[in-house]
Amino acid sequence: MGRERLGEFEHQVLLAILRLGGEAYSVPLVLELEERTGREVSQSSVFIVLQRLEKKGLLASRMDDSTKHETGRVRRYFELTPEAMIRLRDSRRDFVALWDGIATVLDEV
Amino acid sequence: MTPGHEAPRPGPVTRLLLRRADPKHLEQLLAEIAELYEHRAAASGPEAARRWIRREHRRLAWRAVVGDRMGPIDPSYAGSTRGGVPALWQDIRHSARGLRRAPLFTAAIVSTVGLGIGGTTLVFSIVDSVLIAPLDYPGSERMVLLRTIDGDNAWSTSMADLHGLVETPPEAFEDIAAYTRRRNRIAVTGDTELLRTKWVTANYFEVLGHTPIEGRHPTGPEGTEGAPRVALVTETFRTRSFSAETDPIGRSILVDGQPFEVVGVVLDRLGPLDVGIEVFPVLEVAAPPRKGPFFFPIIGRLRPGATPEVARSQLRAVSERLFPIWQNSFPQPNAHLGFVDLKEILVQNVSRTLMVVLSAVGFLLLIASANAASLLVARGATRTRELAVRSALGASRGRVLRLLLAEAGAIAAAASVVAWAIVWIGLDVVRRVGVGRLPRVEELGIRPSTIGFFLAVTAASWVLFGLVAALATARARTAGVAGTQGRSTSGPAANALRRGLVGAQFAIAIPLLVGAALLVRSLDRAQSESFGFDPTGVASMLVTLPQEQYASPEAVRAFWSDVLPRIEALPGVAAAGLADARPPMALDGGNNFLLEDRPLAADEAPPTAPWITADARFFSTLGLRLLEGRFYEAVPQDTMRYAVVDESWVQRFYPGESAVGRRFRSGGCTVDGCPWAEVVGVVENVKTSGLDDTRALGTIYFDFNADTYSSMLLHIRARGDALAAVPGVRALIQERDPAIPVADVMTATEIATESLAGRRYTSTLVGLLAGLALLLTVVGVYGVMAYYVQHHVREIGIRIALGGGPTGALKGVVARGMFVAAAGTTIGLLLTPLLTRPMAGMLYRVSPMDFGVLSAVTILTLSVALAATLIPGRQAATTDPATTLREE
Repeated sequence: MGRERLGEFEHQVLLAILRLGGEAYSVPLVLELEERTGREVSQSSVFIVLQRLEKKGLLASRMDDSTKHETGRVRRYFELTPEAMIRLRDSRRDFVALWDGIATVLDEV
Repeated sequence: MTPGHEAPRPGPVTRLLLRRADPKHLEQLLAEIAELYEHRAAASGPEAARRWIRREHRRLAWRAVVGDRMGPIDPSYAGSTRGGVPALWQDIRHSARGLRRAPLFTAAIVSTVGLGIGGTTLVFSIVDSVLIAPLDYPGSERMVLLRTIDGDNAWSTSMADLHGLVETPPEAFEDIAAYTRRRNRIAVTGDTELLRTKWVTANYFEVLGHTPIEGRHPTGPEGTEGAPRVALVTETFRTRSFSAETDPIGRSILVDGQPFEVVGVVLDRLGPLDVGIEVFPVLEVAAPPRKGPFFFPIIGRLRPGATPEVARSQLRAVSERLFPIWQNSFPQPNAHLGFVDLKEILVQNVSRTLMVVLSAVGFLLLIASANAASLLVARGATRTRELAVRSALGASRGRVLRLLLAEAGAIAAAASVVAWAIVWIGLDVVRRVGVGRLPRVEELGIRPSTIGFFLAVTAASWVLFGLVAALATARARTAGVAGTQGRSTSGPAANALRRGLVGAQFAIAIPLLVGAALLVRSLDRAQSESFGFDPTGVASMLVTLPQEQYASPEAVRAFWSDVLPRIEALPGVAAAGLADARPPMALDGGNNFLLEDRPLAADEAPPTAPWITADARFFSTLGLRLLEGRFYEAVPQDTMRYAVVDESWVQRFYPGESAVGRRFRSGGCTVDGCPWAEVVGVVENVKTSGLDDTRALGTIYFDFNADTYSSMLLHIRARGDALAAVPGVRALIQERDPAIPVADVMTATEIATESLAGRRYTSTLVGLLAGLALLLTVVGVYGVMAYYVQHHVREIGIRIALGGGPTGALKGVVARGMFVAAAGTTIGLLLTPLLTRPMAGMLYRVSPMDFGVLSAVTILTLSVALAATLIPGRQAATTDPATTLREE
């Protein structure tokens, strides 16, 4: 598959998983996204994006039933694939290069 | 987890929508949402969390059904290959985008169809609310209005009937109530108003199923002879006449100077029987001195399960017992009581008009649909290429059909928005214009059946457009792929279909145009009818002398003999006289009579005629010429009474003979004690039941000085503007006695106009619809021909080049267009009697197949069609063969 561009929300989701230690299921992910962006995040949007990223090969998932006896729920944990790490690294590099020297300009606005 | 934080489940609608989502994923997602809910409940309280989860469920459902930028929930959904709602939605959105790219086409088709659906739904909603909806009284389907019936004549009931029915009520009736309409001077504190009142039996509101909102129903002896006089008033009257703190119950109001105790306040909206009435004095039911007058309508409610046949036979039995008692004053041996459905009689005057207007808009809807369909065929033809490419790329037949249906659906949806706007605005207009003209106007609204009708019409138009477009494109679909530049890709089938549709529009428009022209012609004929007198400067007003001061006929006569000469002496007034009717309309009714020299056969009903009480000055005020004999003069001291009749009366009873000196007894007059009335003079005819009344029943005039009433219509003939003279007259009367109300001022011309109001509304409305139909039809034929020219440029060019010349091209196009128009018009003329025959009763002095009207409509339609085909024809004629051929 070609190097399809990462959407903004896809980008945010990948970063949030990374912040949560590289592996997370959707509930803490939503909370993390909300905490960091200050906006309400729709669970179903996150669900859809997670599926899409998995299809793109940027995430891998596993079912975890270790907490089933407590909560009755099976959780699906998502983990960044090496491909995702490369994509994030590349995009960070691009962004940093572009931001170089202009951050203060925005502060003056 | 505390029980209070248990996550709410999705609501029923949401659950229904979620059935479209993949169940495996859905379960997981709902569980995650529930877990997140617990976090939110802990962080920001259960209330905020509940609001959030409802939002989240809705978002989920929305995505499950339509998908959005994020993509649908179901990962197996990959665009349009999967069927069902999401794909259809996508198709509709695709179509909507396509339609937006062709704004003119879309606007034309959407407004045409919207107009058709909106107009039909509007009129249907009126028909539905007025003719179909049950009256707003509990058990209204069992409510009837009693009538006195004698052969073909049917008229109202009287106090004698009411009294008899109250004494021995027929079994089949649960209850009966009666009323009589009057005008009374009503005073509460100081100010006196002249109001229309309704005197009702004590049980009237109970029978209608209304409960007073304050106070109570009249009870026990109230409404019987000698009991305290009581009244009910409406909310509006209560608010206007009493301060908010005052309890109106137990207060006294003066009705013509007599105190009545207010016992109840009723709602303003009492239903169609009581529109505009604010005061309801309770009627005294007492044994009357004679059978008439027939001013007491009786309403009855049948017992549940009682059949009309049983009720009718019981009323007949009552009549057989009751009517002979009144034989002297009512010598009609075959008369009996019967009844009609209350709703039927309330709406009888408008039902035919409404049905005609409904069929007119129905015709318009057909034309609009045909027009829209033909536009779609044209568009379908240009899209053949797109569709051909799609099917070549593997889209199935069903897939293409779905796309076309989606486009038709987008059109129908947009048209339905236009339609609703028309319905809302239209209903608002009808509500305001219809007051006093359309019965039950205050009940107008959208009932579920109207919504059903609307949905059915919308769905039908959707399917129709979809199928027509599919038909038009299906045949040429695969063939069109190889076509070049999408030029002559429309197959002959599509062209034939379009021409057929345009021809159909003509066939439908013609009957509608003929119908409208017949109505306009009728109105025109009625308007040019002679009043029977010169209406210039004639006005009339209702003057009611208070009964307290003018209790005796002498006092009333004294007032008028003093005041009338002074009115005539006013500078603006040429003449003044009194009557209890105002020609050419506003006659309350007639009376029956027995001619001395024409005894009735055993089973014969006595004749009836319009009956006017007037003084001698009335004739000179209207300028009625005396043709024979003399006017009645002064008060005759003997027992003889004198009457003046008109030409029609003479024609009806004594054709070719003189009527002067003939004698008759008026109905309601006991045979033995009643004086003969002698005809002393014959005057010219005057219309008394509207300008379009052709019955010529013959009017009888009785002398006001013999039958003196306290409430009369004062007629004046002004020198110049009639209304300008009225203030002087009013001032003169009220200078004499400020307590005398002068009301209802109208000129004779206004009365004539009012008498034709219904006819005018119908013909305006149908005329408007017919005009729209013609416009749409002409636009249709123009569209077809313009399209033809545009897509046959090469053919036309070659013909011109081969020596046909520009005139030949013009002729070719016009002939093609006119062939369609003429064929449609011919079929339309053949269909015309289907619409106009049932209209015969609404026509005035014009036949349903009037040759002049038929030929005028045909010529008009064909010339407009000719004009419409000339435009594309000229375009064809200016085709430059060299240019078109070089472009190849």
